[in-house]
Amino acid sequence: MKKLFYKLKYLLFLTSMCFSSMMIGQKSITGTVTEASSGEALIGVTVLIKGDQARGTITDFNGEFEIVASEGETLVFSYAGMEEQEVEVGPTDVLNVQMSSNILLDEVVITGYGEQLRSSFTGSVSKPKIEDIQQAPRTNFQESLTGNVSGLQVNQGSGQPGAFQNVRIRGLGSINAGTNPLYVIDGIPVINGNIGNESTTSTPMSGINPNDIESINVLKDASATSLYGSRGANGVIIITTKKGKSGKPKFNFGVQTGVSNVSLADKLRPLNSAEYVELMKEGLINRGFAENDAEALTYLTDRGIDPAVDTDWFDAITQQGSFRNTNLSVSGGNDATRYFVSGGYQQNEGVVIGTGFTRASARVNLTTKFADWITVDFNNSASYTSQNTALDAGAFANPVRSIFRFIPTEPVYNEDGSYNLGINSGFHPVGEMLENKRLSNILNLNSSVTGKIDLMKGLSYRPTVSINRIEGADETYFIPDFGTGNSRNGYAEADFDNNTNWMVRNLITYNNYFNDAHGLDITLGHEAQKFSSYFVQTLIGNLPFPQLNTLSNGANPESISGSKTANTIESFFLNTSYNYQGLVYLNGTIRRDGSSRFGSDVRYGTFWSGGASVNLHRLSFLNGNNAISALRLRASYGENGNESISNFASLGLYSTGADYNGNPGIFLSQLANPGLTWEVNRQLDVAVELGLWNRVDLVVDFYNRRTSSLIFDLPVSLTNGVSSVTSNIGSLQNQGVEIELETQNIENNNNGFNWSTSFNITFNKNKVISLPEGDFADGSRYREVGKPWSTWYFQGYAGVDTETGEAMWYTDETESETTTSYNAAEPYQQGTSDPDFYGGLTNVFSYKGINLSAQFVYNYGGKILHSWHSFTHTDGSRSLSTTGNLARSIYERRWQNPGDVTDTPQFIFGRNTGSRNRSTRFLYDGTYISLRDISLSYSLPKALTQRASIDDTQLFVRGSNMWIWTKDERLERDPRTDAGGSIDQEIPIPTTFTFGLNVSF
Amino acid sequence: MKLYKYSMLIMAFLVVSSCGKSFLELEPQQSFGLDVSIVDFKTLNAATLGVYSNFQSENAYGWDFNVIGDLRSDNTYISSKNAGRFLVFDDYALTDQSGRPRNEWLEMYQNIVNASNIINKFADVELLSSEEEDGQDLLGQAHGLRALSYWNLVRLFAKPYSADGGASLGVPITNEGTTGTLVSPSRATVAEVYNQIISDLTMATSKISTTETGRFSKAAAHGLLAKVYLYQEDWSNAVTVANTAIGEAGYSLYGSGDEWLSSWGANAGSEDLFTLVNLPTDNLGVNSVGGIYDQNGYGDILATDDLYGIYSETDARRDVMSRGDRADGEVNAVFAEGKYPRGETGQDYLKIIRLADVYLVRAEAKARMGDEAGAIADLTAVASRVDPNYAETTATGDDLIAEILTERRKELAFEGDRIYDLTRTKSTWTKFRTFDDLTVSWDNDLVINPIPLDEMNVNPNMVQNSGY
Repeated sequence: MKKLFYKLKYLLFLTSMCFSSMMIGQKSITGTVTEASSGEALIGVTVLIKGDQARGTITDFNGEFEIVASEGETLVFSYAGMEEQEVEVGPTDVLNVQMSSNILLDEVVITGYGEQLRSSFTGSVSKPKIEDIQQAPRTNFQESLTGNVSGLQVNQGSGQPGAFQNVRIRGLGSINAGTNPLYVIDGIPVINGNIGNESTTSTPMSGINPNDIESINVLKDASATSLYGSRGANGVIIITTKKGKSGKPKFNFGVQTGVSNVSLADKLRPLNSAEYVELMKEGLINRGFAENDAEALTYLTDRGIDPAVDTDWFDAITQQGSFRNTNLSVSGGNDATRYFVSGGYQQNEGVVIGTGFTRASARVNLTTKFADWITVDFNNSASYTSQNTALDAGAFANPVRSIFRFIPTEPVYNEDGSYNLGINSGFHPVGEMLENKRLSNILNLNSSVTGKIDLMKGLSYRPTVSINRIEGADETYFIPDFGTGNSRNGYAEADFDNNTNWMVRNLITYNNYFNDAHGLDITLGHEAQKFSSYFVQTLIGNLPFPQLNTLSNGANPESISGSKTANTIESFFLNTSYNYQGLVYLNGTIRRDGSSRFGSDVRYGTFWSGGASVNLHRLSFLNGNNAISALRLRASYGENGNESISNFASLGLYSTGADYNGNPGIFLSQLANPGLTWEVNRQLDVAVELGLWNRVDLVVDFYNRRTSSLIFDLPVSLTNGVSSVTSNIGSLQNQGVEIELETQNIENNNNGFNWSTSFNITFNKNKVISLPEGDFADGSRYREVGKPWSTWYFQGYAGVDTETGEAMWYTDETESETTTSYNAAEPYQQGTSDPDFYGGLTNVFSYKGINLSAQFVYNYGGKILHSWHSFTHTDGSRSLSTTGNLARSIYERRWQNPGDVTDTPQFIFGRNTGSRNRSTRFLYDGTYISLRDISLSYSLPKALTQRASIDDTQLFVRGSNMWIWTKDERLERDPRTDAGGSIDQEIPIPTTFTFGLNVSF
Repeated sequence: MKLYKYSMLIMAFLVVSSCGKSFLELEPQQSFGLDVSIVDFKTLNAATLGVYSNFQSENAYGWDFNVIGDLRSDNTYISSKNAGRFLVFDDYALTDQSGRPRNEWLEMYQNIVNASNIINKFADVELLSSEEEDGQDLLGQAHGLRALSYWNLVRLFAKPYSADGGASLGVPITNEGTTGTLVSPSRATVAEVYNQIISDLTMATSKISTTETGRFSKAAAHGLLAKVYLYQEDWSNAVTVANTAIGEAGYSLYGSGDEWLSSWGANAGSEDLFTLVNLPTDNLGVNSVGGIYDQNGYGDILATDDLYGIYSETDARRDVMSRGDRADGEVNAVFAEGKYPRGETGQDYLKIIRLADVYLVRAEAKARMGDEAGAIADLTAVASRVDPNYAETTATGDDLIAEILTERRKELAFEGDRIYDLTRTKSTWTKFRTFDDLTVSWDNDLVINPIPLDEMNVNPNMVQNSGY
């Protein structure tokens, strides 16, 4: 991709000044100038002789130059946006020079089907610093994108190691079609969802070893994403893995080990026995079941409450987790073949007992030049991950649920050491986690071959074939003694979730440069891809032997099922870029996609984009300006689609599985919508990129992203026999501003003190633009034109009557009248779960090999719902249930005496006053700031290490989630919710502290 | 030359990678398209079985129906040690957002739509002449199952017929099936829903020929129809149809208390006119009517002392209950596990209508028509079969009717029937609870379900029940 040409007008003039005679000692020097990281030839680089500006030239289309100079003279290579290089002329006549950019505004970015310099790209792309991601003590690189990329949100939700990460770029652009971006690994679109049946949160992305990643590029606007057509609507995340560089073998070895604990543990602490008993006694007296404390206590002890028992279920369920990571890679090669080979192993124990994750990964990336005009890339990777998982949400076996719900007067174990099964219907949380097996394994094999065949000057043909096989295998076993396995006298389940994704792509690329002024770059492609899955699930009961727990050991085969599904996509696309002298860039893309997911009438969609950018800093009036080192304007507009819906969403279906009395039955499962069509996403992006004094880089993007033909499972009258129909219902808009700022605050090249700052902030406003069928309530949400899609909708809580201690709600949205009857209160809109703004701030300090880096992540606004309030904030209605412990706020803020002003009603034993019903009482401000990453590293002086033939040795300590501040003091949980803005009973996010060592030689 | 060789390779690659037209034509592997879903005997049978299967689910007979009818009445209550299941029924504290009423509503309408599809598509189903009779049988079963769905809906979501002769709002009648047009129906009156049920059951009685265990039999159609007439206070029709039901061959009252006791569990007895068969593959586990009574499961729902006390000591039916201490809960509580002995495995058969029920329907209808001798004969037939010491009653008039209703309570306890006897007879009862008892009247708004919010939100023609 030789897009890298430009020319300055005044240099043309300079070069026309010929020197007719050669001076004594002068010789002709030739060479090639390339970009350091990509190896691409740089066209139009100014080559001058220091002190004699009159003699100069520029590099030609192949990056080559020829200049007359004498030995001892110094050549100065300069190119806007790159660091200037000075090279002394030696005895040789050949001088090859590599130039690199260390500033954000002109790095190499990977874009649709190629790579180019940011300054030649018309689209919006963010490229987080990969070092921060590689060494973060986390399993999945996606987790580390938080706060590092403007416009990108990661909703983690669960602290389960290896969990699925919900990534959203530029707001919620879709409802029932997917909202996750497309992930492209080394050119291959891959799947990114839960694998298997057992894990509530898993992803093949966890199989990627972050240390294998060379770069991550996040494509955001239409110009960048529309080349991905029907899959580009939610943005594209391009992951490029490392390639070898020619030279002697280079080894990299890294180890990292540490511990993790529950973050925000104080907020999660349940009531202790004394607090619980105090609350219950007061509730009994309030109810009139006891006259006084002593009577109340008798009432409790008569019913099996033993105040002497004080179980901290938090301690029983959580543990100190661990994190260990080992990584070894070697890369190198010669002119013909380059290689990168790596192996990694990670072992991670979660903060909830029995949870964990291991990953073994290997990769071989080879590049071979068969002939001058044919180069082939082989990328191969394999990873095997094993996740010990737990159930979530309301499941009885969910260990996290028991932290908040189990009463402290119940012991974990009986006196004889056996599990106390008198709680939670025998689902003992410790036993469930330690005696049972819930293992989710994923084998991920990825292999691709890409050729690059140069047919003639500027014209290449690039075929790719790839295959990606993801095999999920769940192994579970449940002992007969209690809970899950009890009713079947022990059982085992084995599931096999096999996913195959193959792709064939043909690309023809053409680039050329005409009349020293016009650059043209064309990519024409065809792509066909098929995703298919085969899921087999088996269950065998009456298997009482924990030590022999494979299927063959059971006596009662209960069920076996297998299902297949597939989807295909075929596309043609064209990408054309034109530039004039590196000053003005124009880009246009068009792509036509056909997808098996849509009905035959509406199967094909055409997507396109246009973009333009101007490099103002290369115009003469800014050239040489010391203050403004870079100034670019760019704008793009285009349209892409979203085909992420279920495979047969448009069909009316009768599904099997409704079996009765041993015979197969079928049942209406889905209503037809033959007109169901692509969701269309149109996006306008306008941006300014500004560089000041080569020390400040600022990128500001304004975008307007509009989704029409919004795909939604439209709720319909349940009398239709279904609850919803997949429909195109209207349109949605996300408008926003993204700001990325990088500054070199203190710069001292000679190993002195350096301080740099990266800051990003994103404001996104989500709004429903049209709903042709009218506004509608949708469970706890209200969908109204002009309002954010994620608008909450339920009763408004009016606090507690100070005289009676009764809960009150507003009768309606006027909030002018209150009622003490929940059923008499009308639901109304309660704001959105979207944040007002969010982002990250990273400061890096370095001094003589010591490096300190700290990243803060923040989120402002957005209302989040505690979705288990009806069990934890019952104000007494659960009476003595063993799963009836109460939130700390009930203890601390309950109304006790007339005149008390509080939001928590009087505690009345065994009476359901309705106060636990969903209302704004359980809606909280989601604002927080967290110290997401902090690291301190020390690189041993080279003088010391080189004696041992070691290039670099680095020691480091790293912390993740070390600190968090939440604005809403009422909030009793971690504000980092799932994507829906709900606090679920999920595994808490850990705080991890590690130390480690990296050596390269 | 080399270029030529490589060009050939490229050409070959391009040819191989070009897609056929069928590349984008994929068919689902686990579903039939709507247009080919009910076309022949096999699919007709499968579609009928699908409706049976849906009746087994948690929010139908698998859990809710059998629990709610007792919990709202004077038969059962929720222990102070509970997992929170069904508390809102115990407390009469449902809201329009409550999950169970929503799912009960949805599942019954799923049944109605699926049964209607069978009924409406039947004319186009290609049946061999040898399949004709069985096909008609399936059509009859579909009518029966649709009637049963409306019957559950109108009992759960509407005032009793007797409140005002069926004038109050019932539930929507939607018999169009899946047409491609979405519907947002309004509520018919209770009387209209009863007429629909009667019409469907009448069709069922004329078409059904099966006597297979687990299927909706002709006797079940007659039996249910008799009960519908009883609720309508149409005593003479109740007697007539009950006579037909009782006269159907193949069913008989149990001969002894032991036989009665052994009829529970994963088997059908001679009284079962229609029982839902639960196989291990249908396993709802602890989330089943068995699981909520089973002290090894939730064990949250206990029988009231009041219920326990109405049985004589020699009444075998009392043996489905036992006294014991609930772990860390009520002392000397009454556990009610006996009608669902498979407990938390969720594998008990679910009895939908039994012969004894029909006898008591007939007894009550006769008593109310003044045929007290006939009523006492039916009552005695039911009571004496399980209690060797039962002495024939000498009661007359309202006392006799009261005794028949008490016998219904004894016979049908834990089968989800009690509340409807209380409301249709406009009774007031004591709701026994862990802490404090309530006095509840049949016309209490919160004794019936709210129309679910999900329905209210999308259906402009829907009217909410008062009190919600």
